[in-house]
Amino acid sequence: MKESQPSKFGLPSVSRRSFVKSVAGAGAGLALVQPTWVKAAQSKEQVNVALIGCGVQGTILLNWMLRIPGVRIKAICDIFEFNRVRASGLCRKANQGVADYMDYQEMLQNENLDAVVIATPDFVHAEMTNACLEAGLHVYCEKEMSNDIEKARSMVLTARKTGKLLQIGHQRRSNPFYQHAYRLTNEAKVFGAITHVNGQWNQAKPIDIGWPKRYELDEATLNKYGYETMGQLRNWRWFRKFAGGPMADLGSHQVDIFNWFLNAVPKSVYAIGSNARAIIQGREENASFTPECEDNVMCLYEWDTPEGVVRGFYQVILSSSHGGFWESFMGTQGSFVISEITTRNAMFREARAPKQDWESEAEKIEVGGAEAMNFDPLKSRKAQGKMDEVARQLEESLDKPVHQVHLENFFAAIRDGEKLTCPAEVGFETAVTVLKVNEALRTGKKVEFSPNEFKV
Amino acid sequence: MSDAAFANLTGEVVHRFDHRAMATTFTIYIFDEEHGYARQAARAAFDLIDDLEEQLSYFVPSSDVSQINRLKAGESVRVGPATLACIQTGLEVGRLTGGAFDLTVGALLSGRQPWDATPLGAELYQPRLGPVTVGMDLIAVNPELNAVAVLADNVEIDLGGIGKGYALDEAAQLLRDWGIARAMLSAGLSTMLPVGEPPAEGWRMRVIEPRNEKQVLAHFRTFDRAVSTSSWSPDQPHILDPTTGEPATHYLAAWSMAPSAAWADALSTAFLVMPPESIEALCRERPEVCGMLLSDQDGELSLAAFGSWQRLACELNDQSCEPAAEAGPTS
Repeated sequence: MKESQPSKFGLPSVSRRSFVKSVAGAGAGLALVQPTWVKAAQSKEQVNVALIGCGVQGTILLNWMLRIPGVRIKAICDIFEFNRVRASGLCRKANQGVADYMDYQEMLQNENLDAVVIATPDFVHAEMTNACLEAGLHVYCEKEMSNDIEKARSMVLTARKTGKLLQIGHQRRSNPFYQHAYRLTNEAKVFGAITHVNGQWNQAKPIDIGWPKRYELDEATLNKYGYETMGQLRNWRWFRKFAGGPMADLGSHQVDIFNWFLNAVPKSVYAIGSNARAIIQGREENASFTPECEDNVMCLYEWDTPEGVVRGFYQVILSSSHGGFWESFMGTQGSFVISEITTRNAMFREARAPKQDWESEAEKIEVGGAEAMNFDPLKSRKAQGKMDEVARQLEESLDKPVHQVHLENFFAAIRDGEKLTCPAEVGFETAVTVLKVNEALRTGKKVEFSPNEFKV
Repeated sequence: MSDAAFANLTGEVVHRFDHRAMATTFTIYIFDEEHGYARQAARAAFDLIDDLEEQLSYFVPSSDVSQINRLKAGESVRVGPATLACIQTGLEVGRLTGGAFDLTVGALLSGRQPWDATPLGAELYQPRLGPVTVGMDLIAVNPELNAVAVLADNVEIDLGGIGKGYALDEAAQLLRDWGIARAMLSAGLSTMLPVGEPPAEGWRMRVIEPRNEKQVLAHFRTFDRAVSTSSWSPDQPHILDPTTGEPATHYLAAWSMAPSAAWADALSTAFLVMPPESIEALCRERPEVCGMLLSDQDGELSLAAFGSWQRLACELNDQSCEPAAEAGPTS
């Protein structure tokens, strides 16, 4: 590589020799092909969308929406200018000039939209969703539907009345890996009868995320939109008035999976939890407020299923990240662990259960000292007996961003009539499942669910 | 995120925050600010860097990069603005350096660790299993559609030589939005980016021997430009020469200075494999860019500098020379 001839800089000069482009593949006769560009949407296919709420979650959704062909972001809306500046800047970088609004009603009056995506604090979801549905728009609303069960119910009713689509942001419902695991559990019955479920979301969080001083809203503006302080606006998840607590913020995603996979809603829940640790942490960090909602909740749920009672434990802890987030299902023939972070996924067969014909393909891994199998859907798909169709579906979407596939389901429902994976009724069942935990926490007693509570 | 506050030599309070992302440690130094506010701003910047990693990482299956790397000849995919910006900058640096920077060449390394910061054993450098096709002309970009296409099969891109710099540029903008008056950002000490009002004398930087960090070879100053370094050692053949496909071994290290961290990051990688004459020509054509090369010829260190860094080399080669030239603000 080096040549001994020094250059005028007193450095070894670099030899330049041509490098064969294809190292091991196509050989010298490499032919370049013309690109086939992703289709630009025709006007009739284009879905004109606005984003209401451009904070952390809204930005995630915006980022992935910008990648979906045929989706045109027309407007963004947020009461906090800093969020509007960041969101409109992101759209501009993606060549999507957007109008920006502080007030969503003004936006509805001025813009010609097909759909809205709502990622505001939970307490305004119902008001905004109902107004947008009434205005003839399809709505994707982040979970939790609301921090109030009756408000969540009103959203289901408005969706029915208007005939517009209402997708709730439980994105695992569109995740091909979860859909695969559902089929393994419920159609192929790989794990036998499910008897127990477990799950957790442990995530250490700061108490007060602060705000850029130059964008601070005045008191009158804050009051107009229901807040007393900037601390409340920026940290709304810590306040009961705005949020449903950590079971609604995080637990909801996973308890939703329990209901889905068990094809049931729970019959009871016990819960313990408190905000004591968050209060201490807030003082240590000089937070501008005292947290109200719990920093940890532990729940015991029971479901009645055709195969018997299923019992489940779920915990959410905001002072420790240990163990991360996952769900596990234990059945009479085997168990599995599943997570949006797929490296955690593993499956286990009970020694007494018959060997599955696809096991020889599965990668053996060790989990907690015990032998397990990598829960690789492309290997375990054989268990479903419909390899071709399943393989095609999985390979097409397995590695897409988890929020993008849920948004794609929403837009495909608008354009092509695809079935929503998380319509309002499903979102409502989950909202009841998690918001009733707050009653259990408040009373310290077991809360019984009546089947009618889940119906609208 | 870990954080600390201390006073520097002039008594100015410095808040330091560290965060692991992109397989390196990002550090943000914020000057003369209330500690709690500095911490909140730094956390927002680190959150942004984590979001970018999800989009830019070669190792995250759902990232834009992974989706590009699964394309077959002629196929395209829509990507986010960050990915598009990194690829466009990479293509531009590739053109400007005569192909010395190439986003597709990293695919030749097998057994790589995430990004390029983790030490790689020499035994890990071997042609990758399976076919790999290399060349920046195999990447096509359609900015109107935010789409990227590959023009042959088995083309892979890796933004490891540019993504950390881009992340610093984006974090700097966020800190400016937070009203942070003065800060210094670093990605694993290999790329650094000043933010806001510089000290009156500029930021004083040291050029150190990559194998012996106690040996200071030269000093220089920067006011608002980003600086970056890439180095080679037998244990870390993580930079490949796109013109040969083999590890870059000509120089011990290369340094660059440029108006953005993404550019500085990419240029230091390119300089490590460029002939000095080409670097000199590039720095002449782009006066906002400086470069430096360090070589070891039979134990004798030799430093060559280009652009407004030209006088730096004398600190090493002739201790009696005048202090190094300063690079003034670029605005």
